[in-house]
Amino acid sequence: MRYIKNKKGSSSILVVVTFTMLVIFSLLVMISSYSDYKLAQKNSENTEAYYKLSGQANEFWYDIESIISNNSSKNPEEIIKELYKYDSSVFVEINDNSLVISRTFFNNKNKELYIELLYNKNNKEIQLLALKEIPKEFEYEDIDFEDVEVINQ
Amino acid sequence: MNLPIKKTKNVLNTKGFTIAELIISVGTLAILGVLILLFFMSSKDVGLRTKDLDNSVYHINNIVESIKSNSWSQEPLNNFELLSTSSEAASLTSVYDENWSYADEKEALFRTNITFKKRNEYKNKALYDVSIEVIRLENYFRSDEAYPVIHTIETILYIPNIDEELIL
Repeated sequence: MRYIKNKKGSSSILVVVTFTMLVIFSLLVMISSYSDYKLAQKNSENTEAYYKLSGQANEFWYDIESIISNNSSKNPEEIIKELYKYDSSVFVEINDNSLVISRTFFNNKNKELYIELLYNKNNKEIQLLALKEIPKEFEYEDIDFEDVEVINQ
Repeated sequence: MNLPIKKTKNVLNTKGFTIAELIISVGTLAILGVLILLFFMSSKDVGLRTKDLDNSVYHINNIVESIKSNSWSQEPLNNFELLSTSSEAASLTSVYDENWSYADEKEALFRTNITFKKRNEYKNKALYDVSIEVIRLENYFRSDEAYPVIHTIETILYIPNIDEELIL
């Protein structure tokens, strides 16, 4: 009881506790702002990667347009041959009056961009049908989801 | 025998702190204080970088999509100034204040540069190498790097010819 009633040294404890709390809070603030920064960097890298892929797709669009315009007098089979000669990964679908030309571009960040062009044989024009990023399936690691009991009413 | 000498009690006062104790405690508190200040300053700096990066990404996306949709008379493209131009290339620039509103050179905090390089032409369309970058005109307080580049995007656009818009 003598020691509890003795108030000597309590200010030291107060200072130590205050500083410890300050260090802990400043560390937490720093960790939080760093994780925000990492997230922003990831977002910017993703945007950069998307526009790089989009650039490849635009180049592909231009190349297809020039190949087709140079071979517009030829029959569709020959045009398709020319397209495969240019790029073996291209996919061509033949319809009555049109050709649907598509290709998927990949990058090292596991991103996929799909482009689809429509060539109309009648007016000999190429139209962009689709330019979209393909969503990828992913799984969370080390996360357990509990089964929720569904009550039938 | 009582001598006329006054006896003093507690000549050596043991209460209080020694000089060594004071130096150690003040030193420890100073080091901790500096650490705490450093942590808070770093957090503020990183927070500022995060805000700038997020805004720059949004701003550059907006510019690219506006170029694609040929919206040269609307924001954000209408406020760009032509820096240099030739038959094959053009560069444009625009400055913004801290709230990302258009600003004078004096009040500016961010600069956006766009560079177009024409690769090929087909009918009324052309293939351009486009590079867009956002630069901060003041350095961050925890860095000595002058004019840090916040974000850059390089892409290729197949768009209607922009010769008329830029008077190439």
